[in-house]
Amino acid sequence: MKFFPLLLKNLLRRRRRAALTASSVAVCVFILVALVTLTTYMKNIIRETDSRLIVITRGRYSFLDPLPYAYRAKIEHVPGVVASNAVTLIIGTAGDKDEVVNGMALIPETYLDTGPQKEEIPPRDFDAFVRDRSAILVGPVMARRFGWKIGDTVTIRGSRYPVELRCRLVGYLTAEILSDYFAIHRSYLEEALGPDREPGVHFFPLKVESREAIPRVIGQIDALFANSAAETKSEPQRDFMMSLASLARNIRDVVLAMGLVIVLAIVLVVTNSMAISVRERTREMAVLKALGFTDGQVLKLVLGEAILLAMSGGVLGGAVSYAIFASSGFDLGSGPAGHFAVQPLALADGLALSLLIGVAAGSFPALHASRLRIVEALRWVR
Amino acid sequence: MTGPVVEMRSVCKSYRRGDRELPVLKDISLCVEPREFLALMGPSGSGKSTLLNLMAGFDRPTSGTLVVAGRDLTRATGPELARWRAGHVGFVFQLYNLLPVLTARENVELPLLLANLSRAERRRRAETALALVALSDRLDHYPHQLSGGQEQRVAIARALVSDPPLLLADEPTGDLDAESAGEVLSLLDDLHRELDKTIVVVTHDPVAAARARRVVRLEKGVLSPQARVERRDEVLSAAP
Ligand SMILES: Nc1ncnc2c1ncn2[C@@H]1O[C@H](COP(=O)(O)OP(=O)(O)OP(=O)(O)O)[C@@H](O)[C@H]1O
Ligand SMILES: [Mg+2]
Repeated sequence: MKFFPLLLKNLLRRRRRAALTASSVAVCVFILVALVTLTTYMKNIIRETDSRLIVITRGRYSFLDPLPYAYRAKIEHVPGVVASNAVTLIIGTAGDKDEVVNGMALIPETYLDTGPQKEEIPPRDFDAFVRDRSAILVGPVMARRFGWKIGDTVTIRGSRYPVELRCRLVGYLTAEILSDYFAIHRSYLEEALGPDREPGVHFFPLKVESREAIPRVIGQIDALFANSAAETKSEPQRDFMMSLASLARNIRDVVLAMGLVIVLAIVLVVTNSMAISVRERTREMAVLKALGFTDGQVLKLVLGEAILLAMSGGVLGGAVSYAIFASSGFDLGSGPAGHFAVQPLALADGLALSLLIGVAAGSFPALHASRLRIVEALRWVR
Repeated sequence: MTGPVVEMRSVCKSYRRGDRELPVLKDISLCVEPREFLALMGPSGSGKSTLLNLMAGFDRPTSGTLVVAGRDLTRATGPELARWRAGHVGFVFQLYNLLPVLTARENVELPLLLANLSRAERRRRAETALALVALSDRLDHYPHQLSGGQEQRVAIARALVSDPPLLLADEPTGDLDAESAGEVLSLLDDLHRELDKTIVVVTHDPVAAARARRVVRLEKGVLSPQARVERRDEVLSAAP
């Protein structure tokens, strides 16, 4: 620790270079924190999805291909189906700045039976929602974004459907997965669109009488619509969530691969920066040794400098990710992973990564410095 | 200390150039007694720096024995040699070699980081050493804020600060103007007389050599006894 001031002063000698190098580490750490946070978030969603007797029926090829609402009646006739809902995803804008919002139109009466979450809506709010056809439930993150309170009249402008939905805010959606979503009545959306444009259904959540019935119900429903213009794919809710998550996971894997390449590139950048800095100081290293510093002490000095450099980048990257994710509620756009917060674990991982970068990048130059022979290094002229 | 500070017996040093051995020092035997002030002269490339570096424990002889301040340097390991250097030699370079990121005081403190001293004690000793070279008013100056002569005096303070018995200087005035050179030489003189330091100086400068009590000449890696000059007036008259 006696050597720390020396280490720090050496590091600060080329301020701009140090700042740039540290920033590249910061970028690295930022990517890692984002990835870890995203992964943790997805795991939580899947865990939240309990093993209730819910089956999701959606378009066979993509849950973004809407199905006709008329399917609902046929599905309800399949033995074993005890309740059904019909969810239409809505992408729209709201507020003065036309910010993008995501939500769904659904059948309020059966929502509690078929909804993705058990305690997602406080009972009082839910009653108010069922009673008023123009009612809207909003996740707390969305409410905060626009400063909405219960009792407010809020306007959602559809982007796929050219409609303006004026709704009364009656309560909140408390499930984490829905924290940046809204929910309105299907009938209200139908009314707004008029008789000529029936809103397609993105998925039918169904409640099934027993676990044993699930495979049969799934088979029967999908057989019902086989060879039709809009074939269906039914699966237990957990599987449905997993398939949503796997889409995100594919994206994550690509990002992860790129992240790895970036980490490697940055290790090289920091190595190079340290190697240049050590090379410039060849003579100084020799002088330290001449004064009595051992090869090992010189090695530690250089390695320490690399670690300090990388970790200051790590702290910077961690701070930036925290600021971005925690304060503003990072928006990944539409999809279930709309909002997430930085996990402390992710920050720790980020710092560990920067330490690793420091060690990886510092060891070669440090070894080089420790092996310098005084008489030769003293002859070194820049 | 009894016995010589530097005791060199049949020391050879050669460098490797590819697969060729290049002999630089050939069978050197030389003793430096305690409190001696020795000047080492000789043409460029004759091996003066090489000889001095051996005495400083920067490098090991190829053959022969070398005992400095009571320690057999030919038998010491790398880390042992480093620790020995920290306590037993002060080295002054031609190009000062101060660390540019450190102030004068911090530069002088540097060797003390290797000793077991408190921060306050290190500071105090560094300030004392700088007072000795008359730079008490430049404690917080960085090397680039000092003149060459001042830098060299800081370097001398750094060499002195751990109170080593042996002070080695490789052309300490080689890069200085006559006035600064004179100051540095007087300083070495004072250290020799007042602090009883044993000093070996490599120099091209007859004026510098004249300060020494004994002058030794090196020619092509060989100490030439016929060129050995024992008294300073002879050095001056031998100057071209
Ligand atoms: N590390 C080394 N590798 C190879 N050869 C070296 C090395 N160091 C010195 N030499 C050679 O040894 C010889 C003596 O060098 P040295 O530096 O000791 O001379 P010098 O007397 O100090 O000269 P100068 O007065 O110019 O400083 C030179 O020929 C030099 O090229
Ligand atoms: Mg020389």
